[in-house]
Amino acid sequence: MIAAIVPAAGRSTRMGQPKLLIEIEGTPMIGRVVAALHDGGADRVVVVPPADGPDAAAIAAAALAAGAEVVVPEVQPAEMRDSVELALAVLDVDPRPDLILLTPGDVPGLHADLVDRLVGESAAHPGRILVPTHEGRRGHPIVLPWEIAVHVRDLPEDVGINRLVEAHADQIVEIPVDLEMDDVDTPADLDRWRSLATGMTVQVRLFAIAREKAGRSEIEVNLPDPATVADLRRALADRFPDLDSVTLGAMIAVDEEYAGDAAIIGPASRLAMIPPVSGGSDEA
Amino acid sequence: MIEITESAIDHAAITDRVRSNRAGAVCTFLGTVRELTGDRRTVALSYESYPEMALRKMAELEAEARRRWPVIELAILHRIGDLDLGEVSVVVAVSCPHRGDAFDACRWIIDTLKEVVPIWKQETWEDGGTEWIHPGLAP
Repeated sequence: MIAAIVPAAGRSTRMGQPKLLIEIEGTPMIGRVVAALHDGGADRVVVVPPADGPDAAAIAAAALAAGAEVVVPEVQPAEMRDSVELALAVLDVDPRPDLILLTPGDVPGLHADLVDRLVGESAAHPGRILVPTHEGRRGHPIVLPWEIAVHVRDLPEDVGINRLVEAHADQIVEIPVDLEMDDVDTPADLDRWRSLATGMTVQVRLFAIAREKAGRSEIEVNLPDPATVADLRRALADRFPDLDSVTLGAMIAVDEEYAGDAAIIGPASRLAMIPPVSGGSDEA
Repeated sequence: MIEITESAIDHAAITDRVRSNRAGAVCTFLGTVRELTGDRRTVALSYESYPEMALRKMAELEAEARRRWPVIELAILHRIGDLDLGEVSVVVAVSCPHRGDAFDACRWIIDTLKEVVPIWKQETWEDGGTEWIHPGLAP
C-alpha cells in the first residue's frame, strides 16, 4: 500500500495570497497535487491543512474534493514535520503503508506520470529513499519506506524532515526528471514555473569546440515563449556547466544570422552556437 | 558561384569559369594548408562548417561585392573535411573590367569571409595537440 502525505498548513506569507488555492489550469494547487498523487498510484493521500485562519476551510475543502483524507490539526503546526507526524499517526494502523510519498502542497509541476514513475522506481530500489532531481536540484515528492518515515517521530524537536533524509544519505537514489519539481514560495517563483510549463523546447546546434565540449552536435533547452538570446545564454549556462566558458563568449545565430542578446527566439527559430576561437593564427 | 565541398577543389577550372570577354582582369585567391605556424608543425587539418549559414553568408558576400565593385563573374568555394598539407581549402575568383577592382574585391571577400562565415579549422599539431581556429573571431 502506498500513502502520500501533503503537509499544507503553511501560511503562504511570501506569496501574498493563499498559494494552495491559486488555480493552475482551473484547479486549486492543493487539489492538483492530491489528484497527481492519487492518479500516480497513491492509495491514500493525507492532507494536513492549517488549524485555523481564513483559508483553512477552503484548503480542506479543495483537498477533500480531490479525494484526500484531511486531518485538521488541533493547534497550528509550528513546522512542516509536525504536520507530517500528525499524518503518520493517522496512517499507523493496519494495514500500514509500505511507502510514503512526501510532498508539500505547493508544487505546481507535480503530475501523475512523475508519481507513477517514482512508484515504479521504488520497486526497483526496495528500502531506499527516492528523490526526483532536475539539473542537480532535488525536488518533490520524496519516496520514503515506511520503516524510515516513522522515524520522523524520533527527530529532535527543533529539526526538520531534511535531517531524517540526511541521516540516510547512503540510501538515497536520485531520479532525474525533466521538469523542476520545486515548491513555489513567491509570485516570482510561480511566474517562473508558469513560463517553464508553458514555454518551448528549442534545439541549439553546436559546432567546433562547443560540439566537442558537449559531446554532441545539438542540445535541447527549455525557454519561455517567446524568449530572447539573453534567456538562451542563461539557460545554456545553467543547464550545461561544461559549456560555460564557451557559451559566455559564443555568438548565437538565430535563423542563420548573428543575433544580439535582445533578439527574439520563437519555437521555430533555427539556433546555433558559433563558438569563438581557441586562440591561434590570424592567417588563412 | 557559391559552394561548400568535401572534394578537392580544381582551382584552375574555377579561374577559367570566371573569365569573360568583358573582363580585363581575373584575380584568384587560394588558401592552402600550411605546414608551419610559427614553430608549430601541422600534421592534419580539418574544416567544419555550419553549412546553411555559411552558404547564406557567402551569398551575402557575393551580393555586397557586386554592389561595391563592377564584378563580372565571381566564385567562392570552401572545402570542408580533412585536408592534406598544401591542399586548397578556399578559392575566391573575381573578374572585373580592370585589375584594381578585381584585386580589391578579391581581397575584401576573403578577409570578410574569414570574419563572418561560420567555418572552423581544427589544427592537429605534430605534438598531438589539437586546436579549433576561427580566425575572424580571434581576440
